Amino acid sequence: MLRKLIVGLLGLLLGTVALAANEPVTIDFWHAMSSGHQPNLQKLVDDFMAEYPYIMVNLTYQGSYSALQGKINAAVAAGNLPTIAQVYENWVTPIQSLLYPIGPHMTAEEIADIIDGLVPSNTYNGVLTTVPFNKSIMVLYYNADLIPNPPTTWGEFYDLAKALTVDLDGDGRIDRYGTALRPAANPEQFLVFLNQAGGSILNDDWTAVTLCEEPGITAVEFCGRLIPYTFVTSEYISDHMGKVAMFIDTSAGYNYNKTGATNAGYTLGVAMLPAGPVNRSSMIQGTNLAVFNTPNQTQAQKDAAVLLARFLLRPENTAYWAMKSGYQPVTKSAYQLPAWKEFVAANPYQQAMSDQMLVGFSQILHPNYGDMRTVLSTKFDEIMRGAVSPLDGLRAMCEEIEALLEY
Amino acid sequence: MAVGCAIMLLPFFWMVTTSLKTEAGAMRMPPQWIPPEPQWENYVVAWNMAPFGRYFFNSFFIAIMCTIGEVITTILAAYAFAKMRFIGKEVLFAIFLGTLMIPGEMLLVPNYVTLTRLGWLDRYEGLIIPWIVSVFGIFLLRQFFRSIPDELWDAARIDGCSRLRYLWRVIVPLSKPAILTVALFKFLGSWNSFQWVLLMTNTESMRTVPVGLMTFSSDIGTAYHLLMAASVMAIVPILILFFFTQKQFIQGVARTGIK
Amino acid sequence: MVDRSGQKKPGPVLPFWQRVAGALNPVNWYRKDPALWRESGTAYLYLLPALIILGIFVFYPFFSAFYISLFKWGILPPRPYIGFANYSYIFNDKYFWRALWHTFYYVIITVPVTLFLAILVATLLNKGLRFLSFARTSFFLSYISPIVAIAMVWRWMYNADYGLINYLLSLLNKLPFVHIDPIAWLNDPRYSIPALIILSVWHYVGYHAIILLAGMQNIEQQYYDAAKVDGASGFQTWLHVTVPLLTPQLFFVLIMSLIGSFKVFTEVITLFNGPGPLRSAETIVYYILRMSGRIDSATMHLGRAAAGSVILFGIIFVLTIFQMTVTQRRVHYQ
Repeated sequence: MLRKLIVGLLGLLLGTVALAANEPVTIDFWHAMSSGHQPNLQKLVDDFMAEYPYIMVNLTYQGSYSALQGKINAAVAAGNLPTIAQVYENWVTPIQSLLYPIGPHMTAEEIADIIDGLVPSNTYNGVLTTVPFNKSIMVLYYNADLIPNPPTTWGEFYDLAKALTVDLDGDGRIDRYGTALRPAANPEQFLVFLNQAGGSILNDDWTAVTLCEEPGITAVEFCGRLIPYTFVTSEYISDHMGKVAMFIDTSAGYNYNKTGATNAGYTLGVAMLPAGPVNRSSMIQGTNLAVFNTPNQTQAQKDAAVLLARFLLRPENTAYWAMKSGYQPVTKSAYQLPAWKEFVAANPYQQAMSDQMLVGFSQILHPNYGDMRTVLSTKFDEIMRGAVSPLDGLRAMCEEIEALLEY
Repeated sequence: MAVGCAIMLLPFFWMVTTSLKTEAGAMRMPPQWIPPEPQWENYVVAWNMAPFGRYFFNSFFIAIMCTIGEVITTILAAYAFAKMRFIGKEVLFAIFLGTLMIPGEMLLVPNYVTLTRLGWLDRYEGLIIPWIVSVFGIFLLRQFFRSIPDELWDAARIDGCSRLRYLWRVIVPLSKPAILTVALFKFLGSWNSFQWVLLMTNTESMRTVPVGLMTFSSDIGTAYHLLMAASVMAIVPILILFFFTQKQFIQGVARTGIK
Repeated sequence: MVDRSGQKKPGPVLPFWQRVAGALNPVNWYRKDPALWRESGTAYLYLLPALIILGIFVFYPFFSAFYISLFKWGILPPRPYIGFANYSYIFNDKYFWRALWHTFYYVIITVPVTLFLAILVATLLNKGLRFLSFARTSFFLSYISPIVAIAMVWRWMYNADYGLINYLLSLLNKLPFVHIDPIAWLNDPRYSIPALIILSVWHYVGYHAIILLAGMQNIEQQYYDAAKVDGASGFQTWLHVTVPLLTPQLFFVLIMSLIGSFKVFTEVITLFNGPGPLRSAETIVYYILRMSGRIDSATMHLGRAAAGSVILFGIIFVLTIFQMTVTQRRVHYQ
């Protein structure tokens, strides 16, 4: 009897505590998912609000990624950041002191479930601070009518690119290139080659530039050999599909590339990237979720935002988001869900993306990475357009990045 | 002349025909001048991809309020510059004109901070009040006011007419075409304003049509046929406005005689 | 225009030091012309709304840029004072000089070409042809359309494979002795600025033509009658009557387009979605915005961006003054 009473009292007490903690709270969630993706994100947020009726989430579209970045920078100056936002790594590395770490409020299982390649790019000073949200991976797209077996090594890739570069009408201009690169817009293509050769931009403690060591030279020389067979552009490759036999591009561009291929009259294939001398990894791109720890946020708002971030990480939710948006699930268990497996079975191109995702790597968290990326893209563009020799271009990259080490 | 008109209109023609094509049709070579099956539903799709109804309301409301506000402040300031003697007139006028040389982008971030302090972020105040002064408008009206003979004021003053009353009853009616020109310029500027609205608003319900156009372009590709449909929708209202006001407009520019 | 100062009568000549002392005495300022002081009060009341708004949203942020340019101003404090280090960084940055060169290249071609075409169009429109209002609207339409929307159409028209422009050029190949290769408008560094220039000329020519047209309609018939009496041909009349009497408008259009062209940016970002191949379309404002961390995912260096803005303002200021002094002498008023 007494025990029942105590249990009952305890229950009542806990109930009140829970009620007291559940004062209504409103949070702003800034994102850059344009109209096609928005309804799906809204659906997830609605589900979240149904589960936590005391939380109100204002989902606000801020325009393109660069508009969102401009917005966040301005909001830092004005002191009115939202509670939670979609962010690229290099947007928040300079303001890491304003981040509210999400990891400490997650279970060990939840943290362990995040794909390995995504952990370092969300970890600040050993603490998981932001969490991955919409992620895509570089894969190989190819003209399946022309290429029955996609290349699996750099050697095969090079031979095929060379063989498929042709002047069809004999007017002295190349009508179809073996491959294409977007160096100015997508220096990540170079970083993939670098990583596959076993290299990195900086050493582990960011005290030295390692880009010009042996792997960097291997990568840049490989790019140099590809120049005659590469369509170099700063526009979307999907706007020039007829001209290109195969190319490395983000998985998020699948729908655009598919439409482009259909219009150019061929079947689009998707495969894992060809393997480099050291590994077959690829670069993961896309945004994370950050909760901000600024004076305009109450503890209740930060708690609510952490709940939202964890909610979006749940296997069924990250899988739902991936299926609807074309991004990739960010937790390992999501890939084991029956729903996801069915989805992959129905969309075979997804298999290569999933396989590639599990061996992906992310960008470094150096606070000056934004400027380093500008150096990489400018110099990579110069190299691929023949404005500078590959080795000189690489040396210039190293010199300019050296100057950005200090922060 | 016909060639000139054709060149000027070609991009618009291209915009309209692309907006009526399928996505595959938009990428066909050689291009289709007239799509065989016009895809009118592109407009429905584009309209439904974003709350365009609200965008149009905001664009109109903001443009009208900016225009009214600007006309008032501009008449007052232009009158002072044109018809009054005051200390520092030449210097102040030069400073005003100097502001035309400042790149607007450079003022965005400080102004964001100011709007935040004023609590005007994501509110109509922040989209309207900073824009109700136009140095260009002051300049145009000043030119026009100066062409009105001073004798009118001398006569009015003898009749005991106050300056403000004189401005309202004599100068303003005489300057209708010029004021209309200034107003139309403002309306266009406000309708087309993009960076400011994007930065100073957070919610969909406060955005305008040009910002809505962005919905169709992402960082990985563009749906050109839908983008063109939305662009057509953004241009039609101002086209109608200009077509019906152009006579007074030209007259206004002519009479201000920009000197 | 009436020169009011010409009506003043010279007063008695005082010794130099007395004149200086008198000029420095505020009481004399008021006594000299009390009506001026009273009228000044009213005038500033009329100017108050404009002054308040310009003060808050233009003058204040403008002067704060001067201040910020002297600091290492990142996104978060500390923001140490560094003197003119931001300026020396910019002057030592080869990308700044390239951006400057791209901008000059763009301005030097865009401004005169637009002006020339605008005179031509205005002259033709002034002939009073049929469908005048249609023609006027079609020329003005480009100016009144949102730049974002029209730059998007042009991006699509410039597409090397599916674009309209290359298609039209390829039609010329059917003529004998003509051979034009498809041009990679947005992907060949040599064509970046020309692509930008074509877009801008197209965008602004109608606006300038309308202003010039308005000016032409202002020219009184007596001048043309006089020319007729002198037996001048149509072209001679145009050259010796229309153009000289149009100088005020030409002057206005020139200054406005010079100032506007130096600030070119929206066209670049919408057309190229970046700085263009080999950064060949990076203009000064683009460079400034990159420094401020608002585009290209760059790191925020607000001090450098502010210094860049000050330099740009200086360039425009000097050029405008220069242009004003040179052209003002040639302006004819009716």
